[in-house]
Amino acid sequence: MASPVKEIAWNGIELSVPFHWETIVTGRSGLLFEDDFTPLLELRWEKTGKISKKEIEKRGARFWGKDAADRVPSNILFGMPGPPANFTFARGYRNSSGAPVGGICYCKKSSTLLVYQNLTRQKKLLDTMDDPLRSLQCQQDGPCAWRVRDFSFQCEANLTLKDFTLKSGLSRLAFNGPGYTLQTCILSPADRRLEQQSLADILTTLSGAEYLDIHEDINGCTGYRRPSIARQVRYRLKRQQPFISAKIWQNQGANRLLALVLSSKSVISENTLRQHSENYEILQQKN
Amino acid sequence: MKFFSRKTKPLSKHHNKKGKKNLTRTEALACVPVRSEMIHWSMNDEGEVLVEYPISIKPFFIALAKRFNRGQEQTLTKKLQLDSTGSRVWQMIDNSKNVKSIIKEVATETGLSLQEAELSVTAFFRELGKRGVILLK
Repeated sequence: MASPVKEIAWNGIELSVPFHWETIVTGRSGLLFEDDFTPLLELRWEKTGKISKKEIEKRGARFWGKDAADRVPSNILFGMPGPPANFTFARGYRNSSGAPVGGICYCKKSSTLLVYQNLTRQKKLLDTMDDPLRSLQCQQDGPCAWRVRDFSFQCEANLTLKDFTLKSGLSRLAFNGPGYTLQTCILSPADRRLEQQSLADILTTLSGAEYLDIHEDINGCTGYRRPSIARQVRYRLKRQQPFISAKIWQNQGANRLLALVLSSKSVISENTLRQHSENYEILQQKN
Repeated sequence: MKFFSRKTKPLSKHHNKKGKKNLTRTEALACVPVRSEMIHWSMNDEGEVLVEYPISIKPFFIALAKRFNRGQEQTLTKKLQLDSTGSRVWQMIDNSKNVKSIIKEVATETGLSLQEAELSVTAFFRELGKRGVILLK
């Protein structure tokens, strides 16, 4: 029976990893996978634009340095018959003792150069990396997915990651969108947080606004700030975005609070907030 | 002039400013936290732990305090009140469990992911370590 897997998606890269693997976000374009606190696999990537095979190899050699003096043929990567999924070029690297240390892949369509590094020398653990690497692919046209930790967020490709915070009890992503900035936030545990503050108070704090026009219903709280022209000028002079639309709701099953905060220089359509909230959810935990 | 000509060893990236070797993550996770013998702790009815630990003061201030206390030497202490989660982690310190197993236990009890639990537990132990309340074996 195949072991359960989970889908991981982060900043343009997608892959399926064993469910018990722990995913650590190491940067805007970096992921690290661990099994029982043992680092297994690290991925780093960047949008390079169009580059030649020679340049890719040059970058690969620079990255691996002395660790990988010998190169294996490009059609053998951890037992894979070819480059993973939609990657057009791949090169594997081995260390002097012949153990695979990682490789470099390039996706022509999305112009993404990806380096993967094997962090273990245990044969048993090395074998578990085949399937995740085979499932590796770049997100191209269409919606962009963000799926790490316990949440999933799907948005249009024109949203770019501004910054993020992944701490204990707080997962926050901030994006720059077309004419607005978006913040997604998950707070946990919800019951403890609600003992100290109401949903409306938490929403006001997250939005950073002094005042929000808040509407409460059974699904959560929605808050708006639509200032008058005079106040808009005041906010702009303070280099703040005058218009805010925000929503917070509770996922009782997972004991989490999910929040979205949109801020813009112009009026934000109600649809934008609704669409984003429909695509933001907590992933079901498998036992 | 010998003092000035003494060569000092350059610090590697695994050594801190004092020249002591820094622990790697794997080594730190395998360490067993032990409560210091210098502290006193008690638990209230709600299960929250209160830790009383001695504070280190410079000899000048100790001498000053002694003078004001008519020659009587007294140990100055501070009290640290732990919240429910902190108290639960405190109870897990039993001289046998290592940091890794405590993290796993916290993750199971609180429903946090291993990564979240690791961040919380290591930050908590770091704070206790700074105050000399626990030691890592």
